[in-house]
Amino acid sequence: MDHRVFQVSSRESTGAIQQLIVECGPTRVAIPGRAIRGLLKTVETAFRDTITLLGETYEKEDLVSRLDPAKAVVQFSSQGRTILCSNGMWRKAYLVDRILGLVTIEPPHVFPLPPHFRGAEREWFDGLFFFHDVLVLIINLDWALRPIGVVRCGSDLEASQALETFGSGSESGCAG
Amino acid sequence: MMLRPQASQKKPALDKKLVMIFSMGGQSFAAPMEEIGGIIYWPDGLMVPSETPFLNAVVWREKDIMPVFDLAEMLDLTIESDPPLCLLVKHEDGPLAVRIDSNVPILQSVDCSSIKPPEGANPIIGGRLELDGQSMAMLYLSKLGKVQA
Repeated sequence: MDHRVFQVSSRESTGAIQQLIVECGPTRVAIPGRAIRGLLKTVETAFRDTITLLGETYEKEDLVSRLDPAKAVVQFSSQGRTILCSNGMWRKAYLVDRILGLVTIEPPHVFPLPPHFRGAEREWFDGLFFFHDVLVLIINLDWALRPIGVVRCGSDLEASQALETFGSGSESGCAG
Repeated sequence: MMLRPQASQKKPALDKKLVMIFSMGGQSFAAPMEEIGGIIYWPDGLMVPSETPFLNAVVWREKDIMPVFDLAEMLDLTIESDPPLCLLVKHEDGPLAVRIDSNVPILQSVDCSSIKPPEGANPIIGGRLELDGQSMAMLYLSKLGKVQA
């Protein structure tokens, strides 16, 4: 199995952030480099629900389906990749259709989602940027990694109390 | 000598209204010209997973990013012809793109009396325009997504 462990310098002194750009069903999404822990070929992870790397276990999830339950990644594609992500609290192994590139983005080059979008998508995405004259959505990984059903708490105190009660990686309760 | 208006003088321009007549799914629609920012060929786009009704993509021209409102889907129509055209709408929240058929829209000056009150309760439909024996809905595009259709 080809494990590629990321050593990403996620933030330079100017505030620039590395973004891994992937094709995700009908759209293009950027995953913040700071959260990436590994990169695998999806065909090598078939028929497994979890992946363990360096003692940490990542639950597999189709990133396309996370954004749109009516869609899914192309099965058994040679270009498909599984991206191991973690924010220190939760871990997921995201299936994507293919990798498009790795870029460093300066904050002034990030555009907000137009105000016409008024739904939950405003939490799903942190903005947009241009990559080779095409637009890419920046995914909010803290939202994506948070287990479905876990509600974001209103304060850091509530979050820390919830973690003490339920433990790290819990699928119930409140988490910040 | 006091000047008096002559009976043969034409009616003032206030009785006229400029409208854009365009096609979606083969049906004609009209929109007030003051709500139209332009017409372009359909530009590059990006699908955006969204829970906002009928808003599911963005398009861009150079560095201007505009959301796409799927008006055809809202009216249960299918855009005919490929490639389609793009209507740029002066929306309350900023520029908005609406995909229309490839028939080039027409700018028309119409009598205000030819615009009849709307029949249904759809707030997007501002009335019906009777023109050359054809009846078409007059749409308030600047309010798309702001009111429940």
